[in-house]
Amino acid sequence: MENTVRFSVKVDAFNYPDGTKALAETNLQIRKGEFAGILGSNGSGKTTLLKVMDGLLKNFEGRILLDGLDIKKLSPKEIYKKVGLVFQNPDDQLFAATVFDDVAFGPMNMGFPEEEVTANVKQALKDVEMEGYDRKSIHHLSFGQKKRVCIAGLLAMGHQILLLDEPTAGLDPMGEYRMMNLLMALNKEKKVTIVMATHSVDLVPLFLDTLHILSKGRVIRSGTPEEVFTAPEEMTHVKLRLPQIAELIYRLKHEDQVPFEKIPLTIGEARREILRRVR
Amino acid sequence: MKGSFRGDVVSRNGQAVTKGSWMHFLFEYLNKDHFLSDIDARVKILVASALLVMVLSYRGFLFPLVTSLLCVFFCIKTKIPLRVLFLRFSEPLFIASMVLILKLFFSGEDAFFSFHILGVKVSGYRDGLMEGLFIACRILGAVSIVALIGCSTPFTEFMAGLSWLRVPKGFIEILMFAYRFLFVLLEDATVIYNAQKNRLGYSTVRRGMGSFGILAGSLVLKALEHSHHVTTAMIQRGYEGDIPFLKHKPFKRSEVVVSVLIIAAMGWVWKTQ
Repeated sequence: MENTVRFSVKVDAFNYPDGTKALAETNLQIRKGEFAGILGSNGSGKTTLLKVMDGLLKNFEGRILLDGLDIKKLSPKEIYKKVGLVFQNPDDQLFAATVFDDVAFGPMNMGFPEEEVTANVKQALKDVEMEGYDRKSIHHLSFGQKKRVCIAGLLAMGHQILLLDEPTAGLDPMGEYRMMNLLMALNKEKKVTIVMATHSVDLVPLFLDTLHILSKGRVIRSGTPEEVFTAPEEMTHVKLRLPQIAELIYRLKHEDQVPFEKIPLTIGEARREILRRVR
Repeated sequence: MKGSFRGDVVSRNGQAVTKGSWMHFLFEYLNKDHFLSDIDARVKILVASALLVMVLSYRGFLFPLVTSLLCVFFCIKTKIPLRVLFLRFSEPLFIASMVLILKLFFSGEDAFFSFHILGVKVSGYRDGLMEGLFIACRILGAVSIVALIGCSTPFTEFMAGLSWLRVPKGFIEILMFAYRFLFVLLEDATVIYNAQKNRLGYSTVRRGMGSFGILAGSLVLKALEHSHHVTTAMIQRGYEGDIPFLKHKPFKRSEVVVSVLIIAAMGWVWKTQ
């Protein structure tokens, strides 16, 4: 993660036409190469925030800078050359008949030569571990595979910033881990800046660099997972919870007076803490 | 992490589609890899178009029947099960039978048999029968050609071929969306239908009609919702009102020669009318 700021978000208010207040006082920064999470309960404004950052919703009060440029003044083409949003439901994003056609759609629209389009598609499919699926029909794919194809479609355009709306929603436990591992690999190896909206509190500490807790359209807390997950009461207040292992240790510490030094967020950390106590 | 995907047919929710179900039928037999799938789609479309013109302009039984038999033979060679072929042909065969019956009893002047039903004299006409057979054979021949090209050409290649033939792009885009979202809407329809059925939505005819109306309305709303999301997704990938296709490779000489020979041979049969 570098210090260069790619996204500087300062949204004072955003209301939908029906009057629903979706965002208010939302401030956050996303640095180059960061793997950031926006954590919030249903209806907290996660998807709206991603759409605002993607330039899909521009009638907000405030200012969002993308690489130092005001997103309101950028054309869709200028935004979409850098940023791509992956929707929660892949069927809302994939429209072509085959995997190749869908992934090639973006690069072809960008006017890449055919050889480059083919090479980009192959590389993007390789990056999301979907090699050999290029001739498959979209409707032959599983839900998880479709999600990967959605990501490939944006990677093939050369995007360096991915916004993902609930990428693990609808996946089984192993599917969730595979998706998160894939995103981590893209972030660490391909240096893709990733911002994902989620409410999977158990997965977050394992993968994310930073976390922004969103409640009723406000970012109420930002920091590393260790800084953010401190007390269950605070999390309950925003309709979330600590990771289960953290909650167990927290209760052992505060209700049963087991003297743990810190609240671990992952099973590995918890194991080390418990072994330290036992020995 | 890699390589554990199953190659089988799966639904939107990641569940395997039950073998023998209509979804399985749809998924399993389209666009399989076989010797015909490697042939340039443009060549197949041109040959199919030429054959269609010949079938529709032929006045007799021989040519449409020969064409139909050849197409069914190639369909079987591409390992399409007979059951699937029968299902594909069932609707046109039904229409052809209806045309034949209507022509036999209600068209023509040369009656060659008659009988009475409830005191009403019903006659069968020789010229009506011949005319009905002509039409039925044409239907059969034309449907066989379309079935063969449909079973042997991946959809996208077919669309790219049509684009090369200067079919309006708007029409091709609509076809592509229809093909893709047919499956999405079918799944949506199945989900809604099952949800209604679980709550006795089809327990009586009257209730069933009401439920079906709600199902249809919901599907329209879902289609609108999907279209909105897809448009957004396309715009963010650079869509400006035109879906680009990869350029075609040059025609293969061997494919062109074989196509010309097929058209010439069939043309010779056509001339026998």
